Amino acid sequence: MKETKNIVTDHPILSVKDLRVHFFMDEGTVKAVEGASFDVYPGRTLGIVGESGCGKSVATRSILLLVDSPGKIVEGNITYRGGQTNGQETDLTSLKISGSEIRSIRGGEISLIFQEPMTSFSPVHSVGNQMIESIRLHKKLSRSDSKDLAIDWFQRVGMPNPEQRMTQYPWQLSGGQRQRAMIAMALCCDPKIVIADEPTTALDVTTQAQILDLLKELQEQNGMSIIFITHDLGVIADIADDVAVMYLGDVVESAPVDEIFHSPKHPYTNALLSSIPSVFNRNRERLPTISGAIPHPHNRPSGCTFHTRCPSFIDGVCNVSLPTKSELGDNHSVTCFLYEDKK
Amino acid sequence: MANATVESPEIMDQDNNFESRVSVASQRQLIWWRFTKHKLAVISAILLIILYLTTTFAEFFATAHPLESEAFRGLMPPQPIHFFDEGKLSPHVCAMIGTRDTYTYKKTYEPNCDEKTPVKFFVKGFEYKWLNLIPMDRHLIGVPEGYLAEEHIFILGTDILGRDMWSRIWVASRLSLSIGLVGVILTLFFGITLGGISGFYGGFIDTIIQRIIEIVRAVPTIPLWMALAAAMPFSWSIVQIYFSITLIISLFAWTDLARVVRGRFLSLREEDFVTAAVLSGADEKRIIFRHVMPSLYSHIIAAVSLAIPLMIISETALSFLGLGLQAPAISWGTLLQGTQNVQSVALYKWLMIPAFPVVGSILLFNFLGDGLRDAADPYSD
Amino acid sequence: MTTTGKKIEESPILEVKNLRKFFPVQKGILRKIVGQVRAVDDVSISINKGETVSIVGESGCGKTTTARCIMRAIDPTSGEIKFNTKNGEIIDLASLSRDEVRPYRDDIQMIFQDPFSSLNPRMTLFDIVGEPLLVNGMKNRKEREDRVAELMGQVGLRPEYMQRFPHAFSGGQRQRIGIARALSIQPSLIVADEPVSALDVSVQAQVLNLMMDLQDQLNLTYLFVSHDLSVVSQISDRVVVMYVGKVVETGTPKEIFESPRHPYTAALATSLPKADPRLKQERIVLQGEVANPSDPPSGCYFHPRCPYATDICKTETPELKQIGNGRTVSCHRIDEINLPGV
Repeated sequence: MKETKNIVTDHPILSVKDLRVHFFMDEGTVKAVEGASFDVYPGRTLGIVGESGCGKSVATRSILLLVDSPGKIVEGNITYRGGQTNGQETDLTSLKISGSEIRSIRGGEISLIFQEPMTSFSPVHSVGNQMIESIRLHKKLSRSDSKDLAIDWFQRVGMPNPEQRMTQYPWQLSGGQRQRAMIAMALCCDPKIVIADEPTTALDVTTQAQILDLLKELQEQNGMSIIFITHDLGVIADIADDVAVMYLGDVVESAPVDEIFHSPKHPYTNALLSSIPSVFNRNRERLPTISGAIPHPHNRPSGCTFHTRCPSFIDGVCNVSLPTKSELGDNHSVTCFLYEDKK
Repeated sequence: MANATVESPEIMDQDNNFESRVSVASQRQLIWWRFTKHKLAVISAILLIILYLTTTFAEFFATAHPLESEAFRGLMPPQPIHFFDEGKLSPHVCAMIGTRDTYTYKKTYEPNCDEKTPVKFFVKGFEYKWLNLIPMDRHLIGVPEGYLAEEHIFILGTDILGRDMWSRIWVASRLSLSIGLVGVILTLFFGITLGGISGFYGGFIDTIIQRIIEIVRAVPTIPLWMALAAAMPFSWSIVQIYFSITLIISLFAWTDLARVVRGRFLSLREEDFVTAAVLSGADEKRIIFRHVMPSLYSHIIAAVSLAIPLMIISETALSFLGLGLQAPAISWGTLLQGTQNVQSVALYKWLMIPAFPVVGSILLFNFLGDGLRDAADPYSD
Repeated sequence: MTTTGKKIEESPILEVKNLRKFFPVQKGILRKIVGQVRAVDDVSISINKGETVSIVGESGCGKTTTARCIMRAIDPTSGEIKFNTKNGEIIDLASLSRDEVRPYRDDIQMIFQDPFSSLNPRMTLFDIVGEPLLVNGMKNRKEREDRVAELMGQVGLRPEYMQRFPHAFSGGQRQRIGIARALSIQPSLIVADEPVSALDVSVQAQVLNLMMDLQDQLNLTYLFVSHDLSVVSQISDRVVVMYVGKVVETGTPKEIFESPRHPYTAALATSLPKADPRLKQERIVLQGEVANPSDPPSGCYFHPRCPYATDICKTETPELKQIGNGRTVSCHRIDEINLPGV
């Protein structure tokens, strides 16, 4: 049900290289993101998948410089190539955090869809008002033109009774409708990239299916790129074109979606894929599990962070030094000692 | 019942340094660590402890008997202790010579440093009974043999009847600070019981109790106290009046605590771990005392530390207005009662010194209460 | 890696008949009752000893309320909950008052969804796991310590951790503690309310394996409540699908997902994202929103969203019909429609 898009030949519209985001707390420094790199291509969806503590939310929020203190981007480049004149490169990490440049990018060029629409909408303004505010900020239209555009977008996201919905408050809408409103708000200014941070995690399965279909449809119409963050591998298989798997702040593997599911290389990706329950497994079959638990963020293991749980652990190598990224061709890269010499 | 032990290969291991320290910490230790982060609260706590300890020995710090009066030396200004006499360490006070202006009949005092009275520490002075039990006669500050402290040293001056202010303030502090503690016990009782019943059972009982609380809070306190003060028999001793005052004040102060307790009960009632306790078969009494109450202690401590200053200031205000304790009782309020005139403000400013310990102790309690309240919920991170 | 150590008996350990739970809707200062939220509307389920039966459905379908009624954590409005106790008597839990239910509490225990709020932060592990033991008569502290140590070993935790507090443990470990607590007094039935929903994927697998192992070894019966179809299909013997307070279909996981007979089940099964990008799935996409339990549609509650609805669906509520061994469906058009499955 997904048309496979061709292997990419364009330049990425967004490149994150070696991003490091640290949180400086009383108890110690938490290295939330430690050397993550990934690329987003125009018109394609990058799925970032990982469990809690892997840094996926922090990494993507850093793109928009939305890191709350005591966190700071300590190193790395985030290059955005979609500027006003095509091809113009901007290093987002070099922009001032509350400066006007990043503010015009937020919402205008790169927008964000949150997981919990109830808490990300203002409860005291109607959804219509919030949309109109966003439109006027970025597109400089008159109030009535903005209103028309907002109603148009509500229609496009499949909101029943768009005019009526415009005047309603977030608490008057259902979960699915709120998420549609969130999507409308994110897209109304025609951004080039949409970051969706677990947008369907809080929704029922049937509503989730509707929202995923909606996003795919809108992507076809608009040609924007999507960065989709989730912990659900099923959703990744459904919506992503390229996948980046994160573990404890690192990107351990990244590849087109088919490669990730049918020829995963990193031991973590492998283990993750086998441990998910599925309707296809034999009933009451015991699931293969990953031994141990995700380490506490204050206690990052030395060397490769996965070595404490890895079935292919090599003593003296994996716990001593950090593996580097190996390119395996066809846009498939792995960060693991098992593949280091296959360059 | 099978006794098989499931050999799970994923037996968890948690021996890393950060984990160990936090993991074996009990609730109390977590609260303590959070509390110690509030430097202001910690300092306040230390100062308050010092304050309470020292005022227990009020007479030890006093130089003259607090009730001894001598109109002759009324309204003397403070006599500071000079520690150096021409470069040598020799604590002394300068004598005060009083003269009465023949035209205005106003008395003025001038220090005469030719007559020096040496000051000695840890000397014998007037007799007193510590805690009304142990007779002692040592004092921190005094004068050597041959002199009488009560005639020579008036560190903070005297009041209109010639009584030493320094000594009286010490004794007043003891009384005023202790009223806070006694009154709070009653507040605790009413607050926890009624707040707990209200929050745990909800429904009709809750509505009734909440309305009672609102009525109590709505009663205008000053007219009420005036009426009660008028109703108290003259023949009652100071002690009786003291206790009835604390009773009256605490009958109105429990409402804050009750609300806090009710709120906590209401939210804790819905928690899964309370449901789990119910499902284990625990009865109501056990659920309240074993499962819910322990989560309340820290909030209660915080509320109490904010209720004490309320009691203190209530007593001070009442006595200041003449509705509470009266002379010859010695409390901050009664000391300040004599200052309600222009002369005190303009000419005899030292009579208002008792206001400082009032403000100071209330501030300290408030800082402490803030710190405790913030530390009370270690899981709010 | 399949273990078939467990046996399912023929006799039901729990029979729920026509269970209803309505919540009154009150408005105004005088709190007048203006309507009812029909959270559980005529639900009947039966569970055999040794089985794992799952109730699955989306938010608002009433599965959690059903579980809590069975546990008597809340009081049902009407219906029967016939429970076969350890001594062999059959008691209707619904007809007893809260106090009368207490002696039977040692026979049904619950595992909660949220690992963070289900353990009292002020109590040590020993206190938490030992509480059911203490309340039910095991006063001797040494005896309790031994039993708690045994339980902790069974769920894969080191007994030395008994004196630690819950905040020291991860989500998966806390769920294990919850499981140990539920097992402590050897109940015949365990009701698990979304026990793995709040856990990471890799930890979910560990806890599910643990639950299946324990069932085999201790001959437990599970009533599992979940919204996650993959989890449900992995561990259940039978599945009950609920929609807005009513049961719409029951059957084995294979039957339910591969050949569903109710359009809602088909929609659920086909909407589930599958972990394989090559899979082309014919999907039933539902229109509209989940019906409001305080104002449900007429006739079949599902008809406004159903792609197969006809006139009769709008007027008559369908009955739950038996169409095979343990297989029931509630739909007017069973014989007329062919539904896609997984």
